[in-house]
Amino acid sequence: MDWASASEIARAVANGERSALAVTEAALARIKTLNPKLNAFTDVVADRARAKAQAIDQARGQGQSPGLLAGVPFAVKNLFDINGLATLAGSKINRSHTPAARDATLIERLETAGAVLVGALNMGEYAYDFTGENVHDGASRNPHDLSRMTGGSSGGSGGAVAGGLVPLALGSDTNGSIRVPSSFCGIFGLKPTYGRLSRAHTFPFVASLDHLGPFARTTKDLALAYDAMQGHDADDPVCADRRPEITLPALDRGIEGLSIAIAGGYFRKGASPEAREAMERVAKALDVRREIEIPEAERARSAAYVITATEGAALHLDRLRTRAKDFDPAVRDRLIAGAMVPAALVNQAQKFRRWYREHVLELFKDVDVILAPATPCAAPKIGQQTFALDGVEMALRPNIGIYTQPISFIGLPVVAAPVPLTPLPIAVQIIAAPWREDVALRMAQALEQAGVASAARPNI
Amino acid sequence: MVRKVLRKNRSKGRKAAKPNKPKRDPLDDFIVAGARAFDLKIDEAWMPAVRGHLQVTLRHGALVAAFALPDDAEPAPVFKA
Repeated sequence: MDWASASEIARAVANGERSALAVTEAALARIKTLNPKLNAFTDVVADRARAKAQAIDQARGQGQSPGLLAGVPFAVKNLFDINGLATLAGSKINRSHTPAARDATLIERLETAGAVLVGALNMGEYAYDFTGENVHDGASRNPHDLSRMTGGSSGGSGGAVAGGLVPLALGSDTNGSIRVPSSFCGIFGLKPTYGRLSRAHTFPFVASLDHLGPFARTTKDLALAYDAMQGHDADDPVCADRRPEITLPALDRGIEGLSIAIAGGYFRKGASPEAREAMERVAKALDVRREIEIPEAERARSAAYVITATEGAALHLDRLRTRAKDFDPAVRDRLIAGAMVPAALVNQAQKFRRWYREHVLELFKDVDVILAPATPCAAPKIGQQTFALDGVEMALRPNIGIYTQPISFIGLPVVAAPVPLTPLPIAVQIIAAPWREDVALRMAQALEQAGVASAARPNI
Repeated sequence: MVRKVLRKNRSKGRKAAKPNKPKRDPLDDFIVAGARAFDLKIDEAWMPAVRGHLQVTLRHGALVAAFALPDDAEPAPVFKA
């Protein structure tokens, strides 16, 4: 079951074809073999995982339902609290923090559904990253080409799922940190609506833009995990007080009746031939010709940039005073710069955010889904500093998210659906109206069933 | 005046050997003052990167600031008592 999906594993465990313990041992063995190559894990909680798996097997033996994710191994970006571990958030500084006294809410919810936590995953320092590189723990490596980036900041999450170490992982997305690794590693990722999933007991980055969500190798697994994690949580003031809106039953409804458009204008600029090819394949499969313009997308990206720089700086100001030399220099220098940005610009960015939201929501009166590239290119080389967009050489690190930032800026739900191009995959964003994750997941499922989107198995 | 400066430079040129001090970016004064206000210690070696990032962020900020919004536009986060 090396490449088995979460739903296949859960079915096998529920049927008694496999024990949760056997599945867990197999996952731990794969991590031991492959992690030295991929550098996806920073901690493995083997004893805890075995104990949880045994409890699942015991409960099943006593006739209890083992849950929809029975025995499914999963791992989380190391900014999620894990009981007994310091929450690193990719940093050196947090290593001296007191170990967490409990798990993050989303870990609890996945384990309630029967999933088994096996460890914590590598990430860019304090999530201020699109590359998956980390000066303290080393770079996460792309399973499709070990010399290439996973994308970040949820780099370990991308590498662990694409490399077959686990079928399911969690990450965070402030400006693209779920969608970028999904694109570079060729897997499915869901960034839900802002406020949909609880962020409680995780280390923040930019409170007004932070989202959490799952990675998987199939759309069905995304939906399973997402459904299990929904629900209000008083511990996160941003978490919406909405009843769970379960997506799995309608996943196979297809796309009939959905109005689809391709994002033009800003989203046509800067795309590499690979990004264009992925968009063309998806558009052809869906027979979509309609193009719409997301108004002021470039300015939206700029506003997200300003808010990120300043809120990130505010969060870390005291650490910048006392432990500046312990930061990744690339992160530290951006945070220091963020501390210098005048408040008037931040306020204007937040006002513009409301304007932009109102105008983009107008588009959703007429369309159900907007398609856009996830990244301007496939995975760059680890250590690469610049790339060319439309022939213009520019810094790579801050510009990988040019297509993701205008979308997360107003919290729209997005599924990143991987198109398995050769030699490297690249994803397309399936963007829906707020609270319509079901629509984005349905479309990803339709593309998967049509053979256009899929997680290709790498030869590691 | 111009001749004077040139002459001055020529005579300096003859003495030569003194390397030209790199021109200080005006933004550096802003960063130094800001760092002092925030009690941040910035190593001289970090300055080019900090300046570069600040320049980029201010460019993004200028694009946002150039967008005309009405006086009664509310920021996105609305506090509820």
